[in-house]
Amino acid sequence: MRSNLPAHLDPHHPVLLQEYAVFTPPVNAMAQKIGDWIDQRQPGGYIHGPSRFGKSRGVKWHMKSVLEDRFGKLIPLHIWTRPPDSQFSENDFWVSLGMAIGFRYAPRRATRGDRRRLLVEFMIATAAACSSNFVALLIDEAQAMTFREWTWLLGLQNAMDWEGYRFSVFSIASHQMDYTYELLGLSDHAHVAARFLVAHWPFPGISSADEIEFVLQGYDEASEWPANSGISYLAHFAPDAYARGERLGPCAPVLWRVLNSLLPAHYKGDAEFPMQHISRAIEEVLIDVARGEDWETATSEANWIDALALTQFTDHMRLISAAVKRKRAAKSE
Amino acid sequence: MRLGNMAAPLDDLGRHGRRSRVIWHPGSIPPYSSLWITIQRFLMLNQPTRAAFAQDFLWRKTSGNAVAPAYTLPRQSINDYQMAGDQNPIRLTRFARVLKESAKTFLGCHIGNFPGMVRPYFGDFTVCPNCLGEGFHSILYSFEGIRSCPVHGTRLETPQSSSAIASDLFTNALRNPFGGCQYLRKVLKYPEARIPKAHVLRDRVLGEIADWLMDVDSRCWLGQHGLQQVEPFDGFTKRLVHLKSTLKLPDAVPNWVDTGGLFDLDSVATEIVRFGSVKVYEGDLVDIDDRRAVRHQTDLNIYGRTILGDFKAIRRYLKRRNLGRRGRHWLGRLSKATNSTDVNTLLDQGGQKACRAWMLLAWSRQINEREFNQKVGLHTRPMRFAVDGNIPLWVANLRSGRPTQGDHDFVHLWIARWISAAGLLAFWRSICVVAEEVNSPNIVVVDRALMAMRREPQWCLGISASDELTLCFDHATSRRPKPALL
Repeated sequence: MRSNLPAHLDPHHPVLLQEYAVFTPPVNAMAQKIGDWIDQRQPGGYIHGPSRFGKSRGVKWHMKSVLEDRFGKLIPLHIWTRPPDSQFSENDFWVSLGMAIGFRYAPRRATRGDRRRLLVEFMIATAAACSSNFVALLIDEAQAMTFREWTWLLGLQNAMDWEGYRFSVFSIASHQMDYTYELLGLSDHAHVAARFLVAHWPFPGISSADEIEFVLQGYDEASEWPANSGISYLAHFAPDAYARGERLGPCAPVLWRVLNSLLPAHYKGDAEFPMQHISRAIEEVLIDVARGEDWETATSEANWIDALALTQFTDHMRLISAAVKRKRAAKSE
Repeated sequence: MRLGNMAAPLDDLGRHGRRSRVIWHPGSIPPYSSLWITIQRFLMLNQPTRAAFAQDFLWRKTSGNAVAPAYTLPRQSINDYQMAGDQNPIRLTRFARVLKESAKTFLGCHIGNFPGMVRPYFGDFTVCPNCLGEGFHSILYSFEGIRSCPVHGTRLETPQSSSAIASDLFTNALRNPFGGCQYLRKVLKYPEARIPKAHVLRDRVLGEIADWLMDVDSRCWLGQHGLQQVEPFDGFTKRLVHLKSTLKLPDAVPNWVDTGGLFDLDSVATEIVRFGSVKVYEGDLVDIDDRRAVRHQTDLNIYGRTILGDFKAIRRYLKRRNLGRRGRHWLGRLSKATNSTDVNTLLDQGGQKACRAWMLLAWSRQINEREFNQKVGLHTRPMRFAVDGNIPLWVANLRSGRPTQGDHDFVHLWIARWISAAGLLAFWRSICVVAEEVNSPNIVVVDRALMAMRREPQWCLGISASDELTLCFDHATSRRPKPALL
């Protein structure tokens, strides 16, 4: 909640509630990669990338619609965010999975065998509803998955196979997952790794001024609230400036320069930036404009620096840099 | 470029925290499938607890007539709701919506869907063991007209006749239809539970029976005045076949009945009346207590005046046609007689002519006293026909424009007048029979005999293939009763 908001701002606006996701080139690339895997009927695949890059939001808000656009029909894609509980019994696992995919009777009494059977039937029903024999499960926060859970999924996949349905498991994880493949391979779970983790793809951050411009144009024009109102986010926050023809898009070179300048010293990674920090900075600028600040001042380089500084952008990039160093060291061994 | 913000996350598949989806294959309910087998398939695929199923799909009976969503299981067997008809304990609309099935899919899924007149011809819970293994069961298997499975040719099993089927099945169906059935779990496998095996032949045969039965109360009406007991199945079938033949409807004689000349229409015994050239369509006629007829208000005065007028006209006609001058003379004298001695004296003097005049007088007095006596209130003839639930209303007539005080359904009145007139004439014919059989009628004996033979004619109403409203009277039924006292 923010204080002293101007009267013309609706407190239920998704930007103020942070309940939105601007479509970004990396999200599009991730959806296309998963679409390729679906085309190839891959039994599994994993997508990894640093946290706060926008993977989960992209999955939640855009993944299904992009895939449906690509395939021209409904896609039986279920999304499960792996809860952080480390001790997961098989029953808990099936209940959690059943609840996530929306199964009405998931938490009811049943043996674990019955629970797996219910999941199989549920998957088959959703595949049949899409006139397909293929179902995909997308696991977010998959870095928390245990060996046993992978094995249970393997059993589910085998049961589906027996019924004549293909079941793919795509996992999305922050970069701990980089090591899981090797770990599974070295610990008698190579068959699991071979099923679910062979195909992989690194989720990129925002990596060019052009991509920044695409994101900013999302706020300028390619967004709408309330639905079907034709009012973009920028038009809602800064109606006068919007009417004058001011747009955030031209700020892309400035923001790109600021992002690079705020990288920590001795940053070892690629110039890829987390979407969350960028969107928070944009939100700050939008609110500044809404509070009556002059457009030029609000979108100046100094204001972008201030906005990004509020998000602890540099500290976050330092964490990513540390992980990059560790990974490279592991690879060189 | 895509819109940056969607109105809501895409939740039709797998939105976290929302659990509204069940395991079902939309479009997998075969035609004429019973509600029981659909529920059993649902229970097998989803395995909800009894309480969860009750919470989601069952009504609770409250103290009054109203029903409310329930979280407790009703104590009601499948037979109860089969027979109760309207009081189906399952929230069928919600059930259909959750399964993503059309409400039409459930047409004919339980006995309550069938017209009340045909429900008595549904017997015990009946199954084909082979169909069960294919994920199919139909309530039509309980219908008296079907005795073997149209697909497998096997004898249908009932709780009484069952030899091979475990009693668990019938116990489940009769006492616990909303709980899983162990026997069914053994014979029904998951692939068939998902999508039952289809049979075109079975759909055709059951469809024919269902359509034939559904015509009752939608296109055909069988008057049941005076019937105290359910008509035997053969008699019911015969009446319906006759009516459909008269109406020139296709498939008047269904394949499942043994024809053999039994269903030939006797044109002498049947009188047919048509409602002018006005077209009346299926669905225009509804039961008098139908929701669509709720705005209808019957003007009892119109019925009173009209039906009394008809009676007077018939009396004039009979007097002129049957009595002649001498007969009318005796009629005048008999009508002035004040006691039975005088009447018997006059009857002895007048012979056949006086006897016939006395019969007309007795007929007229009986009707006047019993049918048009205002002291009897709603039991008078016009009032009885005005509110008769057997006679449908023409809602197409009623729903045109705003109802005014003078509006009435003239189809209902037309039918009531014909039934009334046919009843009066039938009564007269019965009296003539008495006159032929009794040479010296004693007034007391005759009166008692007349009371015993009094009954309305058997009538049927239908909308013909060319959408004409047609009324049929069976003369045989009105002639048949012989006075037991004579």
